[in-house]
Amino acid sequence: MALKYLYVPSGYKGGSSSGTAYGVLPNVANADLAFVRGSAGTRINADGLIESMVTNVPRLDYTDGSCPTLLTEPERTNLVVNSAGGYHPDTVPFTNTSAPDGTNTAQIPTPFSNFNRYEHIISAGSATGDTKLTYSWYRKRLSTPSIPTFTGDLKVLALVNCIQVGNTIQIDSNVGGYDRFSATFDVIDGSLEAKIRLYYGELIGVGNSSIAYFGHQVEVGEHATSYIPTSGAIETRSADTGIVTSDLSSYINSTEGVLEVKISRFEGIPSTEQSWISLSASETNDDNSVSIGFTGLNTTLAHFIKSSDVDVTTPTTSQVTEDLSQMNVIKLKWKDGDFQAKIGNTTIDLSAGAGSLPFASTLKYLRIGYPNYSGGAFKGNIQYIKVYDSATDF
Amino acid sequence: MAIHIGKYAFNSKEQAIDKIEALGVEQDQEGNPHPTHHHTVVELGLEVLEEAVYEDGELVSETVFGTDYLVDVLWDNLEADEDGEIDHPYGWKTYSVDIDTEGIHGFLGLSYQDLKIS
Repeated sequence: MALKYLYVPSGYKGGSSSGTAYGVLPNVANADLAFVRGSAGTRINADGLIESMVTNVPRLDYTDGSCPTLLTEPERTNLVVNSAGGYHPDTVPFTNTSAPDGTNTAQIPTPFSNFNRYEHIISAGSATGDTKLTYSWYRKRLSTPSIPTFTGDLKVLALVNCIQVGNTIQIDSNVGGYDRFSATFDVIDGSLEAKIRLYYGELIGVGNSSIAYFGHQVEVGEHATSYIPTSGAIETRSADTGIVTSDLSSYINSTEGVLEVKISRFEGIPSTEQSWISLSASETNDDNSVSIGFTGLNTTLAHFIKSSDVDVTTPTTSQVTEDLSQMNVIKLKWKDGDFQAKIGNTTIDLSAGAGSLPFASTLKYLRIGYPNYSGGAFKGNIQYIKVYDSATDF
Repeated sequence: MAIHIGKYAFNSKEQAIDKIEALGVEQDQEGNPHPTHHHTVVELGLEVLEEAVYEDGELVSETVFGTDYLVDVLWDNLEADEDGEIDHPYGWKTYSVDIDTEGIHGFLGLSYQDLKIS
């Protein structure tokens, strides 16, 4: 009958042991989410520029426009030692220009050869076979290059001991006037040296200066994450974790209710991990819990209701046609004998499982993650989280 | 200070993995391991003694690796001892290294020199 809990990305603060993402409703301290990220991390701020946020500060990300989302990501290391300019195996003349992080460190190369390129070397023995790496970069056209048909104005060519997986894709647009692109590579034999080569010489044309590049990033994984700046050494951004409220049992109806979220899934969730938002009776176990989540597949929606550590509904996952990497409104309703999930306008009927309601213990905590599974930390963007106290709010 | 940085040189990859797993690992239903702590552990691999040398894009000499397996850790909320001192977790101190620079790897926005365990 009423909205009892609401999180919308708005206020936040840092802290030495943890930060805080302020809840909106109820207006009590217990509604605030603790937040842990060991290192700094970058976001796109309200001005559309890359901005670094220090340790334990939640990242409110404006990538998709004027309404921010809470960005949570896995740990990643940028293997490019100098990310602003990248690594050119040849000493190519360049001029600096303004970059999407507000510095004057983007580079406009002037090729002296068709074969001028960026390159990243994976040392022999530092990768296992079948290791996927993703190279991402920002690009701004100052004028149309000689050959304008290559996505991101870099040509993947002459790879050594690796192959490109899929096509080069655009992953962001108009970040300080730059677009961002990524290409994913698969190392064939980890015992041998591998080289990723991205050519710009032929595309720009010898003696021309039509493209600015910035923000070179190579990370292990099949998808790029937010920019990790480096200068002289590789750098690691820690995972966003430990995102949980205090006791909200006074506000959550354990007999019936609806958990509603508007979220998108980070496409690079490894097949060995999941991504959850949950209500639970305990901070450390999922015995009595309501959870909406994603698995390693982009078409699988997970929806768990557990009581006394037994599934109350079946199935616990559903194949959906919606693109889970885009923002979707997802709901999960709990009431004895009345269980449903919904994504967009599509309702998913759930049957009674072996377990039953009421929960053996009262639901208390909202977690952006899973109660007892660090691999279930949410990875993606959150526009809002709502908890209603009646099944009629579904 | 709630966070500290440690740099370690283990005798082998296997030894490093044993130490990392001893920090706390859980397994999901499929048996996939996941840490139970909030520390950020980065395996840098075998120490590079000499970088590969290229001339005109051609490999002149290959990378020379040492035998030490390097690991950097961003420690989250290490417990202080009875004297209020922060130390490396049990079993890690023997393999810790103290360098005068930031090293080959960092944690974004953090200074090893400011946060190293002294």
